[in-house]
Amino acid sequence: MDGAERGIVMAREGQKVIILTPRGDWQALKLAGPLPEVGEEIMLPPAVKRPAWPLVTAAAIVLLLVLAGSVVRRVETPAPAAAPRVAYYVNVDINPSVELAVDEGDTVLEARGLNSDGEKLLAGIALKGEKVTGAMKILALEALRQGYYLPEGGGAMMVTVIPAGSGQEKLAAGNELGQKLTQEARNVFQQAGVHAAVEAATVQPEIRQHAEAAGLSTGKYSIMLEALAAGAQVKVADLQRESITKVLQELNFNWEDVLARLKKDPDLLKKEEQLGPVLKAALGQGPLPAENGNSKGDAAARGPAASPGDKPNQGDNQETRQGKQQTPGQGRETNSNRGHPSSRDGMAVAWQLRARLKAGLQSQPGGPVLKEWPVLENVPGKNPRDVLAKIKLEGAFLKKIEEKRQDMAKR
Amino acid sequence: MQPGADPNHLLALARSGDAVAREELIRRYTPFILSVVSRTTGHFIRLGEDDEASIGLMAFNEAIDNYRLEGGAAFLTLAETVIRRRLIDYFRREGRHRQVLSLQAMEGETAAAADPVARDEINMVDELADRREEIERYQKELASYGITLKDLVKCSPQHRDARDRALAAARVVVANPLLRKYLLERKALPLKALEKEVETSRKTLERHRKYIIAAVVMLLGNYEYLAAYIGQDRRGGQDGRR
Repeated sequence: MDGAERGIVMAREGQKVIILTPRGDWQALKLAGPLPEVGEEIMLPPAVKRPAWPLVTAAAIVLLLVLAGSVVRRVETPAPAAAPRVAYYVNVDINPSVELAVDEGDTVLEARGLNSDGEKLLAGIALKGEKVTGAMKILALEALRQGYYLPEGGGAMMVTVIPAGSGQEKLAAGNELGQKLTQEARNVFQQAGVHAAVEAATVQPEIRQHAEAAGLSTGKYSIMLEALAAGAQVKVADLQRESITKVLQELNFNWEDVLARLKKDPDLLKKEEQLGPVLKAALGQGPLPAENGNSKGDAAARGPAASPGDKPNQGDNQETRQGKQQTPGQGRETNSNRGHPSSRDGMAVAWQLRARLKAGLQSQPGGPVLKEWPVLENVPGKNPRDVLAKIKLEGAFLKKIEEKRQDMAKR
Repeated sequence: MQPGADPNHLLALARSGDAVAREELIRRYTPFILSVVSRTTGHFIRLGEDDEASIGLMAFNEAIDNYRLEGGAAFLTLAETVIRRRLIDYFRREGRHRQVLSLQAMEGETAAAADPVARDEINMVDELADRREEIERYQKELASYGITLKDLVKCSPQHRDARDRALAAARVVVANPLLRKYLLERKALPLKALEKEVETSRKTLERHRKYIIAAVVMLLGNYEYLAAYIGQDRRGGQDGRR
């Protein structure tokens, strides 16, 4: 354990305090809740290293594009050679929403938080390289530990499996994976005495893209579609803030019923079409209704196999996000489908990139966090196996204290 | 329980009956507990050797249950109060230890000995007020060097080794009357002379200039609490890990 865990408050400014740790480190902290007085000692949350480099890198990339564009007059998108391919995305909604990218061999390639709570949930655990079932167990344990589920309490977890490619057999395989994952989470909750409802659904890959465009996790977006179809007045903004169960509860809907409907007929693309204006209203000024509005005709012809390249409006939208987050695998797909910007002027490309970055930076608070995938390397001590080993030490320390207490009481 | 867990969260878990979280919290804050105990008793306390250490641990454990979120005060402030209270109770019972009580604890006791609870609260308030006064004084003195606390946040060496080296450089200045004089008179770090005394390069010294000056000021001036605070980590005995 090598982080300063406490510090003395040296100054307060607004919601911020400046503290000094026993190690002689000066830090500025933003605190929620009542601020401590100057001179008080406070407990520090674990230091989350947030290097400023994503922004710097982005700026560097823009600059590079400008330079390359003006000299060579063309910009190539280098395709990474042997990057492992994503076979599935597994999206877990508690209310922290996280997404795992999983390869063919069921190994987690990447884990990222889809909202700030999701990032917090992932901050202390390393899922990369784990088998997806193991990752699910760790996630559930971590959610327990962070207090999203309380012993003897209820709660919900929705697992959404999204195959990276289209096809019926992939959806079927996704269902199977979903079952395995829910079982894993249920086991954890059962052992902890939590009565949480864990459900899974499998949806089409396009839905994930639409969800991203709407700023929701795939699970939330799917439930929203289904809830809209059932007549609930769900709003994107509410779902971005609150958990699925809470939003639906307020509208007097039961999320499990809604999910059951989804399971019965998982063709969400069709539902999207049928919803049309209702969806548009739910999305507010989202980009999707525009697309839905003017391409209704050819949308009917669009099967689940339609590639994102067919939809110019929406394709553009995805790029807004990809510009910042570089989803492995998926990023490449869209690039190749969209056609290279090589013929375009370098300057124009740079300006577009800049505009997209700007749009990304101005994302709503509470909305999905548009940033790089969090890097969860195997930090020593943060390895889940170490964590599990530690939990086994249970109570030994407390027992010693109690013994000592009794011993002294006797004297 | 992973090491990176938020202690505030551990506290909430421990209060809701999670024994593992409780144990983890106590284990993590053992250095804090020992430092409070040492400060109250006025001598170094070793975990596993001194009864006072156990009393501190028990008191901290008690504080976890007594803590009320809506109270507003920081948990560690409450913990400190409870630890002192239990120690004083202990000394009173033992009697023989009375002479080693720190002055502060004694004063607090005589001031409001009638009401045992109020006594400790007053004691703690006094201590907090003293600390605040010390911090304000420190800020003022730093300002005379043109250093603000924000500067320190910005230029505080990030890496632990770098910080230790910077602190070591500060101790060299404190120990050397010539360097000390230079700093006090010119309000600047005697980089050239200091460079010869330590193994750190001049460039690094220059980069950590403000940090080093701040540390020297803290160690030189009459800042008992602060100087002891940043010293805590070096005194292995207090931490129980040498």
